[in-house]
Amino acid sequence: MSEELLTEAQQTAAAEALVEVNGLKTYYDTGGLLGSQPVKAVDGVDFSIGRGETLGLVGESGCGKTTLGRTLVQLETATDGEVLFDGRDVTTLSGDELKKWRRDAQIVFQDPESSLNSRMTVGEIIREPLDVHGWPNFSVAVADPQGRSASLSGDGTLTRADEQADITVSIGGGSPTVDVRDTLPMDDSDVDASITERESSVAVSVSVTTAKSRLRRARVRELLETVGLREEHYYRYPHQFSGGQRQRVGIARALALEPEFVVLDEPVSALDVSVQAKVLNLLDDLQDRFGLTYLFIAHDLSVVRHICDRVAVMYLGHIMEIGETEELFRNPKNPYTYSLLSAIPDTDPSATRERVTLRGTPPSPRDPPSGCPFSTRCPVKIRPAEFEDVDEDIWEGIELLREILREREQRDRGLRERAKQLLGLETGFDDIHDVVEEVFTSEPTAGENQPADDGSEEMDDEQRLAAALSEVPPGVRTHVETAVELIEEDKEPQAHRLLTEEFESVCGKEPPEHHPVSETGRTSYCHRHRPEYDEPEPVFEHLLDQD
Amino acid sequence: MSETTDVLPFTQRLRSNPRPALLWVGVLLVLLALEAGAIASVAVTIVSGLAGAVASGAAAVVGGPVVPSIGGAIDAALTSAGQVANGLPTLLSRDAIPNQGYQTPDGAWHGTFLGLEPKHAWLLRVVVVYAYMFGLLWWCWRGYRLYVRHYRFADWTPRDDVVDRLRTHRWGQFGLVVVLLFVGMALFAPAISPMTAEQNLYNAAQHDIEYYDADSESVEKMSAFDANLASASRGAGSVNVNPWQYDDFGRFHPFGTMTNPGQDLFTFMAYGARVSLAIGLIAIGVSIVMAAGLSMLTAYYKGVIDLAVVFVSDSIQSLPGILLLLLVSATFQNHWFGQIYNGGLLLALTFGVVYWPGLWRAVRGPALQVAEQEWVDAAKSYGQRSATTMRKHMLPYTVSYLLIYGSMSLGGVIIGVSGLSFLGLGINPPIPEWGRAIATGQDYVTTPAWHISLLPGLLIVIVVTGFNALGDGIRDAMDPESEGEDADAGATAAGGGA
Repeated sequence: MSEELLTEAQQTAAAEALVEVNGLKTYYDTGGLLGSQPVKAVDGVDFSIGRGETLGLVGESGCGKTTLGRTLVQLETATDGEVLFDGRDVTTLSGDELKKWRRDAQIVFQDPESSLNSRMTVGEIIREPLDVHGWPNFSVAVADPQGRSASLSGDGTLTRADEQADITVSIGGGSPTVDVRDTLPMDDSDVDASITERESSVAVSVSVTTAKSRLRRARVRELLETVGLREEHYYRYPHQFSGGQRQRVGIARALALEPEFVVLDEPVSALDVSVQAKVLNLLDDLQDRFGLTYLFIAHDLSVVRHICDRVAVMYLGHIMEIGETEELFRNPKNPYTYSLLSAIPDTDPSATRERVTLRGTPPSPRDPPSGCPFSTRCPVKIRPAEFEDVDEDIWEGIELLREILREREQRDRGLRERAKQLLGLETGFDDIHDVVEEVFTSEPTAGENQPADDGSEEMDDEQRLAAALSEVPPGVRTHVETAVELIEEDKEPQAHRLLTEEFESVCGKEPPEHHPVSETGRTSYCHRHRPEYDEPEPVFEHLLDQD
Repeated sequence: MSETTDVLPFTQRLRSNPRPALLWVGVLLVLLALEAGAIASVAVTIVSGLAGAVASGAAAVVGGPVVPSIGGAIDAALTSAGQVANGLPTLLSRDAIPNQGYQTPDGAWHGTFLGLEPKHAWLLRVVVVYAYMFGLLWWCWRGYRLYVRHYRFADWTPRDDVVDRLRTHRWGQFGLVVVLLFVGMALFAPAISPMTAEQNLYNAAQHDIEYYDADSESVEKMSAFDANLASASRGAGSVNVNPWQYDDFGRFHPFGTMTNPGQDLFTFMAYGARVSLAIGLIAIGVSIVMAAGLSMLTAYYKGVIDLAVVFVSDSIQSLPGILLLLLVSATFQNHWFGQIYNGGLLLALTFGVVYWPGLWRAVRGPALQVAEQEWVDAAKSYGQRSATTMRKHMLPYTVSYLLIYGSMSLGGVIIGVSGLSFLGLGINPPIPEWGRAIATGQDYVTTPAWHISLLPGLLIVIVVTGFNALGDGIRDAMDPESEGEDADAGATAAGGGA
């Protein structure tokens, strides 16, 4: 293929989407005996990937990025939503149609140790997809200057002349001439074609003289060279290779059927750092050479920045921000992206960059928070208007207390606890006072801490509570005290509900929208982009300045 | 590319260089011609057995008198065919190297091969039989090498590695030799046993033997039944024929004799090997196939299928196996299906059904583990069919467990069959069967007739060890990562021999 054609294809790529995902949800139903909730691994995701583009997908482990990738290649069944591939919804495909489509979308797995069957030789491994699909299924185009209708007999299936065909039979004066596509491992002379011309139609008969098994072997050898291995590796076993070489085998297998779209599921994260770059460069070269479209799943942000055109940041089954890589890295808009990027270590030791530390761990995808998925950990979560002026530490304490209650409510209770609850026995917190004290006492230094502790042992619970809440403004204090009372009466859910009603803002109440945040079409999933609230960035700056 | 030259199909490659193949086939034909009689009679036996089963099956279904006439005609044809087959010359037969005769006072033996002592004549026959068998197998192996060298398309295939690994696996080879020795014993039972089955097991009263009577100083005739009775081992010093001894009638007993009615133990074991090994191997084969198939299904699909199989296998395992066998044996006692191979097939299938849950349990874990490997997902991602995925990407990883557990269960099946015989079900006398030898000898273990139980018991131990070793060898041969097996093999072999 000529250079001009390729660049032309790339120019139109931006406009034309190859993969379009609308409202995709993938839930795992773990089907416990006690009727548990499904794991919402992917919980409503929309994006599109342009032809020839590389979209990066980043996020913490467990955020659902691998599940999303696997759903795109139909290794998982989507619970809801659609995946349009070239405009066709592939989530509804089955049987032969699905099998046929699988040629177009392939996946490279994370662990080359586990993705290659160790009992098969490398040649057999790469060849298997070819065998499965009966490759090569020659597509034959008939180029007839008179434009008559053509019929085909013998090997191959007829395709329209304007599509790229494996074999092109040109009719024009006397015997037909045959042209075999360059990427096939055979010559024009391996194909015999004969024609019978009639008034309005042409009957073409094509026979390929080379055995399919030989073509497949040749194809595998060619693929081995394409991914930077050698022909003689055909007969080796995976365990005789290094991790990087094994990953190359995995890539060769994914490319065997000439797919258009490849999901790269953390393709380099299991590799040695020195090998990572080589494999990344290989992927880059292959993309240029074959016009591939990638979904690049990774948790290494620098790798993503290096290889991706656009990036989607995922958290708890949602895409928090998606946009052009460079722009997103330089100027993150979403609070989650901001926190995530601030975690990248700086190579400059003298640089004094403030880091945002997120509290706690991501909530369980079985029970995601209502509203914004990030609301339980967001450092710049919107406060209800009446608590705008409450001291930062105290507000943090309230959030922490609510989080503790939330987690307690969702924890897997053992049989004993369930039985106790049914019998009306004590199951609650017996240490709520300790928790409140811990949560609202603002970071005492070591010196102050010791005497305070000694003193607290003499105080009774009421006094300790009063002491802990001494600095809390009365508006907040009454609610906390009521909640503590409720907990003491073993009414934890009510206490949780009370705190939620009093202190929850829009963040925890309703899901945000994907707000466009730049001219390039970047969107961010955050309430703070609504005009009535401050943008996340200045709030972050304010926050970091305070520390 | 190197392969442009050799893409000719097999027949063409054969035609272009026929000499090695023709030579090989010629030698093979000569080897087979030596045993033409035996091969022909085996074929006739199989055909008549099948015809008999079909006839009785048809009789059971139709219940009319039409069948006997046809059956009679077929029977007659088969009988004559059998006679023709028996008339063909056979190298490995007692006619060629007879070992039964009598000794006159001058020490000379009459009626034996070249006047050899019966012991030596018998040994010679055994050696010839095994030499023939191993020779034939070696020739087949040569044939494979020949094919690889001259006619195979590829210079190298993964199977070559498997073969190479087996060739350096001493413990596995030991197993192979042991297994072949036993299979040879079963196949060549008529040639390898010191006495005929007719004289020894089935119809002794109708056969006479000749012996030299010292009292009357002449060669006398006597019914084989009486001779057997007189030479039975009964545990007391004077009435015992221990291993490697002659009885009073000049007959050699390599394994001694059994108790009433005094059969030759070696003959009993050789014919018994046919029954016991067949039942054992069919039973284990059935349970391995079931366990393998179900483990693939349950590991691949999980969920409801897994639960269902757990339920079924637990139910089977909770049934007392012997009770189920009793039930089945009693139910089919007079049914034609229960008659096939003297009831052996029915027993084997029942044992297979009883044994598969254990095997399945043993491989369920490994199967689930391999189902989680990403290469299974990869196969799905390019649209490989589920059945092929299971066969290519999962089964090879569970076969090793199946081979090992299967070979260990083999002894249990053989003993189990004898338990049934003990209760009057299963394989009944006079059909020989290993377990029964152990059972009948149990009372004599502490007496001078200790051999009746001990030798069959030892044979079972050896055959189980042999299958186990062969299973080990196959497992290691199949695993491309077991390159450095040699070191271990020695240790295991030493352990096995101790």
